[in-house]
Amino acid sequence: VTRPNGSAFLVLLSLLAALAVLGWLLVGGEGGAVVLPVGPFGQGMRLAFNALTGFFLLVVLLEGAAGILVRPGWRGMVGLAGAVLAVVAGDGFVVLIGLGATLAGPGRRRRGIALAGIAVAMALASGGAPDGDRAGAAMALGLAAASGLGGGLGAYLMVRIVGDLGGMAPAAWSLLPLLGGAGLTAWGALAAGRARRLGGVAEGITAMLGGLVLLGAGLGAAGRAADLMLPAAIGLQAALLAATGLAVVAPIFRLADALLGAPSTLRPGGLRLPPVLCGCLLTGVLAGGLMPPGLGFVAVWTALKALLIAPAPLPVIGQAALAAAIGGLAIAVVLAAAAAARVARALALGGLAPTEGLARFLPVAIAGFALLAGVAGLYPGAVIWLGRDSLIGLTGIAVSGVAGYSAWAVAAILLATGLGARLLVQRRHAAGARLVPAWMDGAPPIAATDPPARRLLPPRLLRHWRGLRRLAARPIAWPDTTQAWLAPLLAVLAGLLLFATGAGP
Amino acid sequence: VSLLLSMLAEVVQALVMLGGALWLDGLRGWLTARLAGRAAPSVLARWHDLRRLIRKQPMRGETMAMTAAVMPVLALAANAGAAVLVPGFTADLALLPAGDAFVVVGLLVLGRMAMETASGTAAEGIWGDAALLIAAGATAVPGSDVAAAVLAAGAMVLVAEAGVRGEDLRGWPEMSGVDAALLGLAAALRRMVLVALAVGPIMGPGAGGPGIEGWPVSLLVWLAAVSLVTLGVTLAGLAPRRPARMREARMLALALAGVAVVVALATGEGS
Repeated sequence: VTRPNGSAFLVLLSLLAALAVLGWLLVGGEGGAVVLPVGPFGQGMRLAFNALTGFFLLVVLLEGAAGILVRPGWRGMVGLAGAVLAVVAGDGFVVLIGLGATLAGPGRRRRGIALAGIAVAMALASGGAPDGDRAGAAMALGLAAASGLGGGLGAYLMVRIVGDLGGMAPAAWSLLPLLGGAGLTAWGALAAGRARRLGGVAEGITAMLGGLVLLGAGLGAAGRAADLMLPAAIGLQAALLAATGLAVVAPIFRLADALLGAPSTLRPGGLRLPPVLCGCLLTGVLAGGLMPPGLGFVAVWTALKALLIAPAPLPVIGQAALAAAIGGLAIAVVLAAAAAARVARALALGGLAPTEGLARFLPVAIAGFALLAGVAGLYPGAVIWLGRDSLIGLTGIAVSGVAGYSAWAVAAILLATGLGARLLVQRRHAAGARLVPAWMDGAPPIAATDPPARRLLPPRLLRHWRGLRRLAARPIAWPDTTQAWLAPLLAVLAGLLLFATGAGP
Repeated sequence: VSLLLSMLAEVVQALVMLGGALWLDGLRGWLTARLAGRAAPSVLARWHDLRRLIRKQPMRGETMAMTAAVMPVLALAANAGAAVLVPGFTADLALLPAGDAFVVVGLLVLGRMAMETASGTAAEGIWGDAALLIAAGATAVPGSDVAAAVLAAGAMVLVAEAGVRGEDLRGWPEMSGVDAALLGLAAALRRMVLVALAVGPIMGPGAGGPGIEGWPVSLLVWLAAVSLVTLGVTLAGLAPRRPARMREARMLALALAGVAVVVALATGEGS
C-alpha cells in the first residue's frame, strides 16, 4: 500500500465536509449560487448549491473518502475533487470540467465514453427549448451515459437529468431507462454472484445499485411526463435510497477487499475474522444482498411500490414495461441473495491481511460504513427526509417516506425470534457443539451462481446464446488502455460541442 | 384493549403457524406414503424427528463453527418473522402493519440465503423465489382482478411444494443435531407461510367475523383451507419429488407469476 502525503488529510477533509453538508441538510439550509472569476472563454465558473446538490455531495464525499482509503494517491484525490466539482456545477462547462477531472481515477475508458455521451446529450437538449422527442432522446442518452459512469456521481447526474428534462420528454422515452435500470440491476446482482474476488463483488453491487437509481430515475421521468406525481416521487425516493447504498454499502466491500488482501470467493483462506468485523461485513452483505431489514431491500421495496401504483392510466406497452421491470427486480433480488450467501460463506472463511499505513484504518472505516448502512436500512425514512427538499423540487409534492414497511420492527422480530432459538439451543446444549477438524482448507465455498440463461433457456437455444455471448465478449480494439489519451481528447471535443450548441455558460 | 387483543392474536398466529407447519408436513408425508402403497408414518412423525434431532449434540467444522452456529438460527428467525407478518386467521394482528407481502417474501429469501450459507449448497431454488416476488407484486396491485390473485396463489403453492432444496426435501445431510433441526423447522415454516400467503388474498381473513368471539371459527376455517390446499396439491400429483420435476415446478411458477402480474396490471385501478 503506498502512502502519499495528503491522502489521509483528504480523507479527513472529506469526512468533515460530509459532516458539514449533513448539518446543512438537517437544518434545511438555503441554497445559493456563485460565479468564480476563473473559467473557459472568460465566462467564469458557475457553481450552485441546493438540496439535491447537498444530498449527492454527501454521497460523493463518503464514496470518495472510501476510494482514497482503498487506493491512496493523487489520482483518487483529483478524481474526488472532480466529482465534487461536477456535483456543485452550475452549468454544462463546469460539469464537463469536473467529469474530465474524474478521468484521473480508475475506469478511464468507461468514464471517457460516458463523458462524451453526457456531452452529446447536453448538446441535444440545448439551443433553445427542445421539442418533445429531442428532449426525450437527450434524456435517454444522458441517463444511459450517467449509468455507465456509475457511482454516486452517476446517480446524481441521473436524478439531475430527470429534473431538467423529465417534464419535457414524452413518457414513452422513460421506458428505456426503466427497462435498462431493471436489466442493469439484475446484471449487477449476477456479476456479484459470479465474481471471483471480493473487489468484483463490490463492482457488481455498485452496478446493481446504479441500476436501481436508473430505474428510479426512469420512474420519476415517466411520472413527471404523465403528470403522475405520486409514482414519480416514490420512484425518486427509491433512487435516493439506492444512491445512499452507493455511498455506504458498496464501500464496505471495497474496504473489505483491501483489508482481506483481495480474497477469492472460490478459495478463501482458513482463518476466521474477529466477530465484530465479521458482524460489520455481514451488515454489508445483508444490505447488498437486497434482503430485509437492509438498505438495499428498502430501495427495491420502494421501487416495486412505485411500479405497482401507476398502471391504470398507462397504455398496454407501458404496462408490459412495468411487468418486465417488476420481473427484472425480482430476478435481481434472488441473484443478489445468492451472491450474499456466497460472500457470507467466503468471509467467514477469510483471514486478515497484514496492514500498514493508511490501511490500518480500514477496520475502523468498515465499522463506520457498516454503522451508516445499518442506520440507513433501519430508518430509511431519515434518508428520504434528508432528500425531502430535492424531492419536492423535482415533483412538487411531499411524500412521507416508506409507509407500509417498518424496518426496525422487522429487525426486532428477527432479533427476538433469533434470540429465542439461540436460548433454546444453549439450554439443550450447554457444552456447545463438538468441533471436528477441518480438511481441505475447511468447508467448501458456495459455487458461483449459474447464469439465468442456463436455467431459463432450453439446450438448443442455449447453444445460440453462448455463441452470442462469445461474440459480445470479444475485446473492442478502441479505445484500449494504450490509447488512454483519447479519453481527455473526448472531453475536450465534448466541451467544444457544448460550446458550439450553446449549452455552456 | 384493541392493542392487547391484536397482540394476543399475534401470539396465537405464531403458535398456529409453528404447529401447523409440523402438522402439514406430517400430513403430506402420511398421504404421500399412502398414495405410494407404503405403510404411512404418523402425522406427528415430523415432531418426533425434531425432538430427536434437538437432543443431539451438533458437530461443526472448526473453520465454519461461527457460521454454522449463527446461520441456522438466522434461517429459523427469518422464516418465523415471515410467519408472524403473513395475514392468517385474522387481519387484526399487531405486527401486520410492519410489512406487506414483499417483506414476507424478502424474509423468506433471507431465510433461504441463511440455509444456503449454513449448508454450503449452491442456490437451487432461486427461480422459485423470483416467482414469489412477482406473485407478491401481482397481489399488491390495488383493485386488480381476482384471476390475478388465483394465478399468484398457484405460483406460490407450486414454489411451496417444490421446497427449498433440489436434492432432498427434508434432510440436511451436511448439518447435524440441533442445527439440522433448526433448518428443518425453518423449511417447514417456509412452506406453511407460502400456503398461507397463497390462501390469504383469495379467502380473506376472519371468516368467523370480527372480534375475539369469531376467532375459533376463523381459525378452523383457515386451517381447513390451508390443509385442503396442501392435500389437494399432493393428491393431484403436483407435488414434485425429483430434482428435475422441482426445477420444472419452479419454472412453471415463474410463468404463472408472470401472467398474474400482467393480469393484475391490466385490471388494476392504479393510483
